[in-house]
Amino acid sequence: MIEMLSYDFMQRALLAAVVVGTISPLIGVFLVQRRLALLGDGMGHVALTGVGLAFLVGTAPVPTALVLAAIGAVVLEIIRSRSRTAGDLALALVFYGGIAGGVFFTSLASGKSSTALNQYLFGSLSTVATGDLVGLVIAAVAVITTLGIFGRQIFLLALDPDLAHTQGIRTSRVSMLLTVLAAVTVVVGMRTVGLLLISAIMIVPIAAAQQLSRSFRATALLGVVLGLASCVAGLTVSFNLDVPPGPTIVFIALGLFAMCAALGLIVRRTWHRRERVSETATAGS
Amino acid sequence: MAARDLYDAGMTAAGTTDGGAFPSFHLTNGQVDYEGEAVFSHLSLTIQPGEFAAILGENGSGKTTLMKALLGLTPLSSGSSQIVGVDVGRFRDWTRVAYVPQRLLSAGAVPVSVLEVVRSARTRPNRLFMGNADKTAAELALRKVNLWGRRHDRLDALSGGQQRRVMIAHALAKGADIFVLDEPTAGIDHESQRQLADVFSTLRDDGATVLLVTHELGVFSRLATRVIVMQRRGARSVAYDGPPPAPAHLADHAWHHSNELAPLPEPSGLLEP
Repeated sequence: MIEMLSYDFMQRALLAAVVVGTISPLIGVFLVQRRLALLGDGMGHVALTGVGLAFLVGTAPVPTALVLAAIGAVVLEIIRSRSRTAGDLALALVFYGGIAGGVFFTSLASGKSSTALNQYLFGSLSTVATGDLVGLVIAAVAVITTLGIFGRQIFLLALDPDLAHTQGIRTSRVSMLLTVLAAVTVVVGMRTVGLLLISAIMIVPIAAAQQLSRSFRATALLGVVLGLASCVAGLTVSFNLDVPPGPTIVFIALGLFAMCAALGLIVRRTWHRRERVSETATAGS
Repeated sequence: MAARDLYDAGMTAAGTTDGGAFPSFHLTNGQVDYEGEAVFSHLSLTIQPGEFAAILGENGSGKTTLMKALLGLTPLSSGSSQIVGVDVGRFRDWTRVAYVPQRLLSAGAVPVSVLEVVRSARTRPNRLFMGNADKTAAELALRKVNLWGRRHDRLDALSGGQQRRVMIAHALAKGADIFVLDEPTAGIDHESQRQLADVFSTLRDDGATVLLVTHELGVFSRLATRVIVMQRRGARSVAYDGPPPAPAHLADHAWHHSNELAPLPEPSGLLEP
């Protein structure tokens, strides 16, 4: 750990991982509640086309990916609001188109090998530049601030859109906002976790947390703890074994999920037993 | 609990200022289309403040669509709909109207506690923070439906009847004076039905407007002051509109079931004061 921190690039990578581990589950909890767990994947694929285009025309990959992902988010949201089945199909089309575009444009670009693309697909320890870091922190602060302001409205929307409407919430706007937040989060995480796996760090910590929690707030907070732990531990392992950080982080998150699921099973069984005992006691009294 | 707290918490039903000048709901020549076909057309309906009205009808009679059109959840293809005198598209005073869905769309996706659901009733677009008045309102509402003790439980750990009571608490916490309920009694146990009847008879006495959509009135047959029967034969339309009970031949299905349920058998005299 100490040796790892003596490298400048590792300090930057670690800070980026902390940012990703914090904001991803915060967005993921709303996506899971809205049953949009795969939306982050769609955003990641669109962002990949952005990276390919950036290689081709020579712009900076992060802003280009952000613009593409944001446009993709808005288009997906419009299609989804029209019809549920069309939304599902649109998501599928976006998956294929995103990957195809990313690989196609990267191949066209001169001097960019598949290694360059791989760094964006599965994350890389060495690609977080100081300039990127500033952008990441600004984006993360923006995401958290937006959640602070609109979080309650997004929660109500995710609970039931009709109910949200009858509380004066502009449901289509708030829904769009959540999709754009997901797009921003995907781009924030693409350096560390990679575009193919960024969605996992939004969803898996939440899936793990809800094995043990009884409230939305607790799920979100525990999700952040598990997300942070996965990112920091994954980065450390990645450094020591010289493997890409994305898959390592996701493996650790999945391991935490398995542990939480097992623990949840035991805890629930104990509760049930206790309830049964107390019911018998009440009935007997 | 001091009266002042109750007022701050918005728990005084019907504590509103329009003096009953406008009908709670006013639909004129309404038509709703679904996939190119009219669910209903040329339908006019006025619900006055303080009415306790039940829209009865079988599945497919268009009663749920009518309720959603009144709330602006389903767009009208022609005609107009007003809530307390304001066109439904421009209506903003949503703290006055509480909608109680049959169940939450996302129930069970992520654990949500009972208290989180009820407190979400106080969420408004222009308010950033939740104050003590909001917390008090949520507590009072949960106590009214006797579920304060279950506030930290997951919503989906509760029985169907208890979950319905949580949704009623959500409506109460809002501090509304107009209540719209979708199938409030479907598939819930007698104890929960009895508690709902108690809550709603208090609301009725306080002058609240209640509109419920159901295929069986259950406990509410004792409370309803007006029954609207929708039928699907030919063009879907209102077959009866007047005081209860609806003519047997029209509401056979609906009324038959409600007669079975009401009056409810009291488990014992001990529960009554």
